[in-house]
Amino acid sequence: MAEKFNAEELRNMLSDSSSDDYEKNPMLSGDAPREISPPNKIKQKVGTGGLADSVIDKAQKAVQNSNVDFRPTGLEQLGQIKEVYALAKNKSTDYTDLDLINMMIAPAMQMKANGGMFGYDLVTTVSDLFVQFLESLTTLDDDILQVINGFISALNVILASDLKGSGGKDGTALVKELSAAWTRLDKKKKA
Amino acid sequence: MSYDFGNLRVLILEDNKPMLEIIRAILFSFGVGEAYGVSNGERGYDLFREYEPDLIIADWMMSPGDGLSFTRKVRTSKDSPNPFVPIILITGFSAKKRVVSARDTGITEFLVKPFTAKDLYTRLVQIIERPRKFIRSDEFFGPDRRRSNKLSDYNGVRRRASDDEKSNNTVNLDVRKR
Repeated sequence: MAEKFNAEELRNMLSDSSSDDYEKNPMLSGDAPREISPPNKIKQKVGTGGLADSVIDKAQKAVQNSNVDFRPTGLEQLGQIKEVYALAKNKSTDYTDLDLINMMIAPAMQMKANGGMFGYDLVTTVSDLFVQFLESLTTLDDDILQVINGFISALNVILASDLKGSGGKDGTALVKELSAAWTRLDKKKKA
Repeated sequence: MSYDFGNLRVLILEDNKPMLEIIRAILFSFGVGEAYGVSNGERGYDLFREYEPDLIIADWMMSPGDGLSFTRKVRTSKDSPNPFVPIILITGFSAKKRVVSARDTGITEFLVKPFTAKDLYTRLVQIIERPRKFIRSDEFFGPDRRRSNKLSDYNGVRRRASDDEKSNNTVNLDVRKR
């Protein structure tokens, strides 16, 4: 698998402990907290008045008219998720469950972030739900992997059929079913 | 009168090339004069020291050197040429714990992907018109994580009062004033 991030790097990136780095921080003070008002250099450079709506519309058109084909990137990121899923399913890995989860979160987040920028709104919606699901996990078991497989299959269908936009009623139904699968899993775990 | 971004120098840290090009296209449409792109935090810090940009837009997940470690370095490193430079962190993450984590490294604004040109513009306006004071303490150096508006509780991700109601891609960094 072409690993964009290794497991340890992902653990650091996705952990919550940002305060550890401040121990020997030269910018920090041992005194009481104080406020600093730096000069507003940007304001000095750009002036006042804002930008006209027409300028912002033109900028948005530049985004919409982008001729980037997201599909190859999306399929590559989905491929990374599938590889990690296979490792988890076959239990053929030394990675911990949390490492495997993080290794799926990273490409899923990229799909969520990028899909909608390039016209694949349903990819963003499904990936967003997928990331939320993954972030709720601390372990992997067969039931959880089944739900993950559902997300993978959904994204596969969307990309394979080059489905741009929100997917209309079918897209809504798809998201609803994936959400329902998560809810069923939760209920089963609590029972 | 309107903003003149012609003299503005922006540094963009984004490892996804098409995304980088879209951000540059938006900035150039706004009239920004210079927009440098780089694909990771390590190289980004080198360019930050070399070009001393007026504004930085940084993706969260990059390697080597992600957006948060880059931000910490800009804010706290002895050789940082400008620890006060505004930093907009762009990311697909929007959960509260992610926002808090990013905020605590010293970012100025948080922008959730996917975003529109207007979303980015809104963030620029906040930086220009409502600049945050900086706080220096034992555990933190960076833009004040509080706002003086009348929030009594921070209940998670929410929009600023001034955001366009139709936009759902911006996240409020405001926290409860203690």
